[in-house]
Amino acid sequence: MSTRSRQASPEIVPGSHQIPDTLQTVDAKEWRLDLFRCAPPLKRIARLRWFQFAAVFPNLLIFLLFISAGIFGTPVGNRNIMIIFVWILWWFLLISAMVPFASRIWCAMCPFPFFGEWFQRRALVRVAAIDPKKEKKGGPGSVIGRNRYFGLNRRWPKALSNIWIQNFLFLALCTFSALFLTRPIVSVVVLSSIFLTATIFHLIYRQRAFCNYVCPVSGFLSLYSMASMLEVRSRDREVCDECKEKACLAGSERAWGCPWFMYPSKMERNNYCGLCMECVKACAHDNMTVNLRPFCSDTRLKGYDEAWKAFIMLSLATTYSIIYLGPWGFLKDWANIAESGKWGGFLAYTAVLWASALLLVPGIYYGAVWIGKRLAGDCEVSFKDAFLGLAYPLVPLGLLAWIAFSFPLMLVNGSYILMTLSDPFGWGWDLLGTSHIAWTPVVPHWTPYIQVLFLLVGLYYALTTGYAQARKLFGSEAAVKAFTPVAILLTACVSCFAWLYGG
Amino acid sequence: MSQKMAEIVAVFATLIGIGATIFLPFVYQSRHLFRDSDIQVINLTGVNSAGTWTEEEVNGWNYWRRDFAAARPVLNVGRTARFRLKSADVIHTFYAPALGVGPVQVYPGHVVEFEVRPAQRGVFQYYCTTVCGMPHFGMRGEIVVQREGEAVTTGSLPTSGKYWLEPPPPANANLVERGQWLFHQKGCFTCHGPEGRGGVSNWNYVKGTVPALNALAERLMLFDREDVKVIVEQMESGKNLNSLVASPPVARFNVFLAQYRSVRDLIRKGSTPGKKDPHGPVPPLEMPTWDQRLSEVEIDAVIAYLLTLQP
Repeated sequence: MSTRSRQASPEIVPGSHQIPDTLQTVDAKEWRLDLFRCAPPLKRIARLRWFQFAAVFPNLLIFLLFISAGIFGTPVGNRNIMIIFVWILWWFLLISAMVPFASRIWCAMCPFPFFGEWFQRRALVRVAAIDPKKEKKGGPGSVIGRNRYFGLNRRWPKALSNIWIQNFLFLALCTFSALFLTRPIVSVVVLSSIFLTATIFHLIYRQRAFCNYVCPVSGFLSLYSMASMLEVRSRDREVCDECKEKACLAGSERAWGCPWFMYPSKMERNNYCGLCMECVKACAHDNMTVNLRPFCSDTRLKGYDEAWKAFIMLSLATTYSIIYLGPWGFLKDWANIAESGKWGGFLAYTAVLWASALLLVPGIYYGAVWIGKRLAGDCEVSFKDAFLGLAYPLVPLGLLAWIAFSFPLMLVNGSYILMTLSDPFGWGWDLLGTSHIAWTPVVPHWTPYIQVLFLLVGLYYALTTGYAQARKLFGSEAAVKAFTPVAILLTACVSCFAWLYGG
Repeated sequence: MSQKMAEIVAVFATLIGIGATIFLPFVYQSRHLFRDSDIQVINLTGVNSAGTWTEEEVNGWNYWRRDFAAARPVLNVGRTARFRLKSADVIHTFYAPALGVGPVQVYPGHVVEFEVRPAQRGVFQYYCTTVCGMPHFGMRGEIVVQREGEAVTTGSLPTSGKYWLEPPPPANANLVERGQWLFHQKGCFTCHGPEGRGGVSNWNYVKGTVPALNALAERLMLFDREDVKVIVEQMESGKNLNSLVASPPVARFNVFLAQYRSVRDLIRKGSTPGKKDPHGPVPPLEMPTWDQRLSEVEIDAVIAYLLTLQP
């Protein structure tokens, strides 16, 4: 089985290596809290074979309920559970709680790959394990490692083993956001298409190729999970080095080999770990665990695809803030082509969005890094390394900018959640007695202050992690000079957001 | 539990769960709606995009891609009917004054219920009385009340309220043709009748029906067709009629001008119809304000068109 090409550089983060106690403090930035040692019931749950099924199954039913509500329920967006729960509640929870505190936990409970993975494994809970030495050729399905899979099981093309597809799909999807944020049926089409595509891809390609390389949601989860406070890591690399079985990679009778094409024992970034806990189940040495760690612990972008994801996310947060939270109604009209019918405006909006996400913002950033590198003087750091290293601050900044954008949506529209909970289809039900409560925005006068606070937290992390990257790349003396243009750019960006939110 | 057993449980749970998720809402809805079988339930949904109150099912799937027929509920004398009103888009107001119903405001996504027990047979008009968009002016229909088993009276109202919105503005049209198109496209004819012939009933209105407009020329003291032609030509040329006082183009021009100004004001500002019975319900049809929706030139175009009409 091949592992990701980006995977496994030999650099070892001290905190993730050889932790004798529950909590080890290497320095202020590198502590790890082994949650399986702190709370053993968590480990027992993670090792249960039906752990992931129990996480996914309720979400599958909820997803089907949303699809049903989108088709058969009211076309009024704010009274249909599809719109309110997906684009207000789920999005808020995902970006503000799950990603910062629990990494890609959503991927462990996402219903999109449910049927695909079922067809692929012909199992919901059990493991189809084989002994490769005793296995005869020509048996049913394909044998990968010590597990048997069904479907075509093709390898994902190497040229596409990056997140560029996810970048473009997410940008394309977000271009039409005004449409699916207001029309339940459009959300149904979008989500059903992703669901269907995921199923088809699972039948054609190995394991979670769809999640790793195609899913538009997965792309930004992968980027922002770097900042998350949760990680799955091996406790002791030496145990892994001496392990002959490598069950986390190849699978065993206890678990499937890592569906995300990772080699869990060598994993040093969160980006492509879906927290499925198969490696925890697989490890015969009890060497895989879940750690709590400081915010922004993974600090290396490994390719332009990841850097561009950061640019796209920041550009989208800016565009959305301007369109949905700004005072310019005509821009909202331009974005909402279905309501306004202004094709000229929509094309202008699309052109500006794509140009700024793919060219303008990266171009400005490129300029800032170039100036910084010139200011730092002679050094052996390649421009690519400098660019990728100094693009990392966009991860915490982008994440906090998205939280700042999403927070008021929740505060303003939160009461719709209670209404649709009682009447999910808008059919006139009152299941919990909350369907007739009045729309009540929560603390609207505090919203700008809360948003600015988030932005400042984002700026703090952006500046500290960016400076740390600059020190690593250029050394202590040149770091300030190298980082100054980027720091000015980041500060200007936050100032623009603050002006937009605070007025 | 063994892996095999857990697998069987998971497969059964999946199949049952999917089935239940899909079907349970519909089962609950059918029980929720028809809990009292003695009562006739009339489901009406206000659809702005179609300009109708419709009895058809309006949902996320069909709302954006089709029209809906205007409802014509048939009730029975002495039998209770429960109306369940919904809005599929914007705020509507349901009003059937002759039947003693409303006006009832219906907010999008909310369901408003009320019961009616008609005492006499007849055909009763209902309306939307909140200007909910361009197709609003066609949001009318009839409620038929009959004796049980009686044949249903044939309706005369259009089946969709937005059909007049479809024709595009005429190319290279003169002022009168443009006014004719506006009179149609803005839905003026839905109250004032085709070609301004009037006759549309307005419950408890002092005059009984919405005024006809095809005698506007006479009301403006233009008794001669030539005079109408001269005035329309002046309007077409873009001249301000007030500037013609010094050299009046037609006889009794000052009287005409005063009347013309009051008609323009009426179109711009609208008017509330007087009640026939001061204690009775508000007449459902009122002249809306047009100053935000029609330009000065467009108002002139409509007046020019109306001047060319004959009773």
